[in-house]
This record gives sequence, structure tokens and C-alpha cells, in this order.
Amino acid sequence: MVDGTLVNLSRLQFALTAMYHFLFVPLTLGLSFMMAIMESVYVLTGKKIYQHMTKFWGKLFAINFAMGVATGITLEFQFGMNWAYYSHYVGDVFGLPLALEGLIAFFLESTLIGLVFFGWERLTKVQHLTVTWLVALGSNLSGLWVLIANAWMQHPVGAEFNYELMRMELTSIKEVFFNPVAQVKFVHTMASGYVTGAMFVLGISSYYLLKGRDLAFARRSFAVASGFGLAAILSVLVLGDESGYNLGEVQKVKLAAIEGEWQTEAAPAAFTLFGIPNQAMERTDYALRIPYALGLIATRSFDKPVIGLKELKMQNEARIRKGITAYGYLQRLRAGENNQALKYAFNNSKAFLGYGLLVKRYTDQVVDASEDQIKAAATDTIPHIAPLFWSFRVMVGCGIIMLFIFVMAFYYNAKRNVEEQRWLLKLALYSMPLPWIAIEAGWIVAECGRQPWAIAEILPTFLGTSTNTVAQVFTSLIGLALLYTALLVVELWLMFKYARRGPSSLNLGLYHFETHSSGSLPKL
Amino acid sequence: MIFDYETLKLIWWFLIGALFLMFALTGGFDLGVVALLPFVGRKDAERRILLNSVGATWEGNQVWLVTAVAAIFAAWPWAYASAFSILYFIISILVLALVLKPPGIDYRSKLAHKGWRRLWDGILSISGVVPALIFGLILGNVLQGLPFHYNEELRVVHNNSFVAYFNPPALLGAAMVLNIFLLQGSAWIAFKTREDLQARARWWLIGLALLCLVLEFSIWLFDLPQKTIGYRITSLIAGNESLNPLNKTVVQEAGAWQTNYQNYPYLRVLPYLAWIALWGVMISAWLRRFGLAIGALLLVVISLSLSYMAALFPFILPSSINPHHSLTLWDACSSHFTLMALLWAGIFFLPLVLAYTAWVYRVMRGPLLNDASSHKLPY
Repeated sequence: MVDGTLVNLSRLQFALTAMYHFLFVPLTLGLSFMMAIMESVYVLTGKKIYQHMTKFWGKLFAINFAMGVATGITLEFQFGMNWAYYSHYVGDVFGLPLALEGLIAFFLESTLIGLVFFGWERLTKVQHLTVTWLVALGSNLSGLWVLIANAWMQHPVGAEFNYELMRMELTSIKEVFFNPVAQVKFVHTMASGYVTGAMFVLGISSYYLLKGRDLAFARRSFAVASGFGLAAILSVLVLGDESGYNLGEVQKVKLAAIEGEWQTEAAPAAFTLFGIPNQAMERTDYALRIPYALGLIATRSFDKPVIGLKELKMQNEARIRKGITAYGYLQRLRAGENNQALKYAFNNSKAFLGYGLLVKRYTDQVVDASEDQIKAAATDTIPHIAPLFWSFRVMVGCGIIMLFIFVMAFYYNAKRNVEEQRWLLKLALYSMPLPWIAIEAGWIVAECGRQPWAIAEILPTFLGTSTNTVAQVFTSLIGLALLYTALLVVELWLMFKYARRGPSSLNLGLYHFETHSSGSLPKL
Repeated sequence: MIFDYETLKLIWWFLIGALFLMFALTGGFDLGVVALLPFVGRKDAERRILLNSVGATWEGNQVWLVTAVAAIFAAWPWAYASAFSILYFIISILVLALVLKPPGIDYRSKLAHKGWRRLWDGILSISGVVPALIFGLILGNVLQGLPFHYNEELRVVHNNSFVAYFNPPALLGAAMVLNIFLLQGSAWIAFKTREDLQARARWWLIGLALLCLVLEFSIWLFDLPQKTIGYRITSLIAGNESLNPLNKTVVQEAGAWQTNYQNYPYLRVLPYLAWIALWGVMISAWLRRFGLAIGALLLVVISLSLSYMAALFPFILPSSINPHHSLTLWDACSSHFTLMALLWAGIFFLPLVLAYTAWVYRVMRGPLLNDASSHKLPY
């Protein structure tokens, strides 16, 4: 039996640290590329202002990057600290992309980042530009490996269960690397990082334009951000649609949960735009529905149905029964019984072993599970719908608003009269939190939608924990929450301070607060 | 596959040791510098110089630690899962301390306010001292064995009494590691700076080297290697097979960590080498040959680490409550296929990492004089 409080605290701690980490990562991803673009323009045209842009946005990048690095360390340690059985069970497969992340990507990014800041006078223009590009490349590769690892949790491929060591072992690197979920996830997540970087630069540049200061600097930054952002938001949305199709293939429960689709409908299914998911009654109240839309997105066809949650639950109940049989075979094998017939029987049923493990939440005697326990385990295979349903809509809503902002920004930038569109500048400024909201909501969809699994259909989340005490995890959770929150406050405060000050913070003697004696200089 | 399983297991034992060693050889200097920040740097400008002396390289150096931990996860999942949960409490503190360093280095000079800077200087010093102490505690505790065993589903079960981790041998380990990181920090400062900073760092360097000699001497004086309880495998190990750590027998006995030194007497060179190199550090500091002092220090770190690894071999994580369940490099590892895949990645990328790291150090070479260019906040 499992201590539910321990599981919940461990999950909460992981969620907290991962979500804090992902406040900083997307901006790193996007801003590093935008700095590389600005510096490329500087090197190609020789215009100093683009170097100043690179340096100023680089200053803000550094404030953010420090937190990204700091919060990333915690995550790497936490698998072992709080998810020991998980680490044991899948380390043979899951550890590989993480090790490659360090070796191939994180090293590149972290070793060269120093030269981006310290290298202006020590490197030639082209060398420095190369370094900036390599940092951007490194941060993006970093994301690639982490997302390959995450995708494997969502859709584990290329691995085989070893009953003697009770763990999954790698059988195909190719399958793990080219996991279809990983590819879609990678482009979707990277592009959302680019959107974050673009919204950041767009919003702050709009602030300068509204204030009427450092116009040449702000206009150019705005121009880069609007172009880069428009391309990025389009890829996010297209890849979001691709993820929908992908889910229909491999994560049917998640898809149905996002849609609040309880009953399988006649194809093509309708898309529920809004409604109130009612988990107890297994229905979505007050649903506002668009006919055919879900079927088209998820199956790209008119005739294939999108399977509803009730039916998925029934299917899972059957899988649990098979899983219990598999668990019985496993116990006999582990007790030392060694005959070919038993091994054959186990190999034929081990695909369902994970479903059998779900019963462990209710009894340690898996093979003797009662009907009620099996039913309860089957109910567990459907995650909580409301957080998924709402997070998904928040994410898409933010995406659509940002699409509008970038289209408008691009349009007026091309017409060269952005400064007259004060409504757009204000909208861009006050919409700055949107990419972060969308991204955090997106992760809630991805990870809550994976429940009850740590590794889909292989290892239930509650089994993955360490044998820590509740007091231990509670203490570390409080410590991390306090420290992270304090650091976040400091980070935001510095960010606001430097963003308000603008390029004057480069101390070049060229910008607003240095040339306008009337302006009151914000003190540092 | 070009290597058989047994060879790969050995290679990965070396490589994981090497990754941690690389962290000590590079990141150790950074930890030492930030730990000494408020002590060696007296004026604000001096502290800025100290931070700039590691500013361009510390981030890359820290990745050796990140990669080493990830490599343990991938190559020794048993050890990763067990060690990090058994040592939950002290690793939590390690994490909190490590989290403080990046914002500390970056944010400290962002505001001119005096109190703000003093606060961050204190925090930075803690973020240098605490990890050093915890690394030492971990090394000292692992040497004595950790209180864990595995249940029938191979889940690691452990006692949670964290007070037990603060025992005398572990505290000695903590003192040793802190001492060495501080030595590295002061050597780096003496090497990279000039005038007052250099002069102060030189005295730190000489004093710390003396202290380190005393510590190492006391280990020998109290005959700790002979008295400490060690572990020894008593069953045959089929290194080429996929092994379950529970299927072996191990005994706990005093002096068992000497076994390898008895079987391979040339290993005894290692601790003596550390001893001689420490004298080398002190003498070269006295003669103001700080480049030489750094070279000698690298030798100290390498020979001490190898002495430790040679004593434990082939153990990774001995268990004090059920020695048979101890983890060794033969049975705590990933599958043959995974180890080989990881090795290919290492063969291709480690030389590349070393090359661009060396390039960054080359670009940043040269002393930091006490002038405007060294005081600048570059980011």
C-alpha cells in the first residue's frame, strides 16, 4: 500500500520546481535566438545600434538565465530524491537523454554564455557572433533532449521489461529519439519559447514607444520581435494542431479529457468549446459545441470516431484484469519458478503489467484484488478532467490573443506607423504575461493529462516515489517554495528596474536617461 | 558492440569518477572563490574583481557536476535512485545552496545599494562553503556504508535518521573537502589578481595548505584506514552478466578498504603523491609561483580522489544494515546496450567539450589588474 500524502507531496514538489523552472526556460530559448538575430544584423550592416540591442536584451537575458540554470539543477536531483523507484524502474532508458542533454547541449550553452558577456573586447566580431549563435543552439538542443525524455514518459517506445531486475531496459535508441510525440513536442515547445522571447521584446519596446524615448532603439527591437514572433506563434498553433492529431493516435485518454468527451460520438465528433466538466456524473454540463471539429482535428477524417472516456475506462478495466494475470506470472518468475511455459505466458501478457500495478494503490495482494478494487483502479485511469479542460482552453485562448497581437504588430510595422497605434502598444505591453500563462497551462495539460501514469501504461505515478517520510518531503517542499519565491520576487524586481531604465543601463552615454537631464534617472 | 559488458562496467566506473573529478578540478576553484569572497575581497571593487575572475567560466564548470549526476542516473540507475533518496536531507541542503549561486553571481552587482551587496556576498560565501561540506559528508558516509536495503520489489528502503550522517569520519571528510576547495579558491585568486588581493590570497593559500597537511597527517596518525570498517565481496562475480545486486555476499570488517592497497602495492603511491604535492603547493605559494601552485593543487585533487576510488573499488554504495545489498560497479549499472550507447556519446562529445572549454579559458587568460576594466559588470 502507498502513502497517499507522500505521493501528493512528492508530486507537488516536482510540479512546483518544474513550473518555476519553466518560467525562465522559454525566455532563454526565445531571447537567445533574438540576440543572435540582432547581432547578425550588427555584424552584417556594421550598425552599432544593433550591438547595443544585443547587449541590452542580453542584460535582461542574463537576469533570467541565472534563474533558469539555478532551478534546473533541482530538477535533475529530484528524480533520485523523490522518485527513487521511478529512477530505478526506467533509469536505463530515461537517464540516457538526460545524460546526453548535459554532454551535448548544456555544456555548449553554459561554457559559451560567459563569452557572450565577457567576450566583446576579447573576440573578433565574427567569433562573438558565432558564440552567440552557439549559445542559442545549445539552449535549444537542451530542450530537445529534455523533451525526448518527457515524450518517453508520455509514449514509451524502444524498451523492454526485465523481470529479474524489475526495470525497463533500452532496446532501440532510434525509437526513443524519433518518438513521434517527441518531435511534435519539441517544435511546439521551442516555438512557444520563441513566442515568449518575442512577446517580451515586443512588450518592453512598446513601453519605450509609448513613453516616446529611445525611439530608434525601440522601433528596431519592435521590428525584430514582430517578425520573429509572428513566425513563432504560427508554428506554435500549427504544431498544437499536430499535437491534437498525435494525441488521437497515442494518448486517447488525454485527448478525450481535454475535450470533456465522455461518450463516444458518431464520427466526426463535435468539439466542446466551453462547458463545465462534471467528473462525478461523467458528463460535461452546459456544453457549447462546434459540430465535426474535434473529429477533424484528432483523426483527420470524417469516419473515424474519437473514443469517449467512459468507453476508454471500460477498455482499461479489461487491461487491468490482464495486468493482474501478468503480475501473477511475474510473482512466480521472481519466486524462482523457471519454466518456458511460464516465461512465454508472462511475455505475452507483460504489456499489461503496468495496468496490474494500478491495483497496488488499493491492495498489495494484486492477484487477489476484489471487483471493487479493480473498478476503483479503472476509475483512476481517467485523470481529473476540470484542470485539463480549463488549462487547455486558457492556453489556446492566450495563443489566439497573441496571434492577433503579432499579426497587427507585423502589419503596422510594415506600414511604418506603429507609434501611432497606441492601443496596439498598450495591448502588447499588458499582454506580456500571456506567453507564460499559456506555457504553464500547456504543461498542466501535458502532465496532468498523463495521470495516473508516471510512464504511460508502464508505471503508475504513486509507485514511483521514494521511501521518504512525509515530514522530510514537507520540509524540503517548504524550503524550496520559500527560496524560489524569494528569488522570483528579486528576479522580477531587477527585471522591471532594468527594463524601465532601458538601454541607458548600458552606460554608453547615448540613451534617454543619459542625454535628457530633465528626465529623472531611476537609480540603481 | 565493441566492448564486452565487463569492460564497459569498468570503463563507466572510471568515467563517472572522471566526471566528478573534472568538476572538482574546475568547479572547485569557483566554489572556493565565492566562499572566500567576503574574506579575501575587502573593498567592493575587489569583490567585483574576484567575481569577474570566475565570471566567464564558472557556468560551464558547473555542468561537470550536472553531467556527472546525469551520468549516474543513466549508467548506474540503482546508485542514483538509492543514494539520492537515502541522503535526502543533506542533498536537499546541497540543492538549496547550489540554487543560490547563479543568481548570487549575477544579481550581486546589479544594484549599488551597500546592504544589498553585503547580503549577496554572504549568500555567495554560503553557496560556496555548504556544497563543499556536503560533498565531504557524502564521501565520508559512503565510505562507512549507508543504512539501506532492497525489498522484494527491489525498492530501496532506508532509515531516515539524518543526525547519523554527522559522525566524526564524515565531518573529517567535510573538513577535508572544504579545505581543498578553499585552497583552490585562494590559489586561483593569487594566480588571477595582483597587488593587495594577490598578497592576501597568498597568505590564505599558505595557511590552508598547512591545515590540509595537518588533516592528512592526522588520518595517517590515527591509523584511520586500518580502523575504519570496510567492505569486501566474498562471492564470485560474473562480471559479464546482467547481475542483481542482491545475489552476492559481502562482509563488513575493519581495514577492508585496505584490501586493494595490499593486493596492488603500487596504489600506495597515490596518498604519498597527495602529500608531496601539498608541500609543492605551499612552497610554490611561498615563492610566489602561483601557476605552479595551481598545477600542484590539481595533482593533490587527482591523487586524493584516486586514493578514495581505489579504496572503495569495486563498491559504489556499501550498505551498513545489509552488506549483501551493497551496490558495486558490477551490479548497479544499466544494461550492456545502454552503457555502450552512453560511451559512444562520450567518445564523440567529451573531446569537443574539453576543446571549447580550453578555448574559453584561453580567451579569458591573463591577470585582472586593479583597474576600470576589471571592475566592470559585464552583464
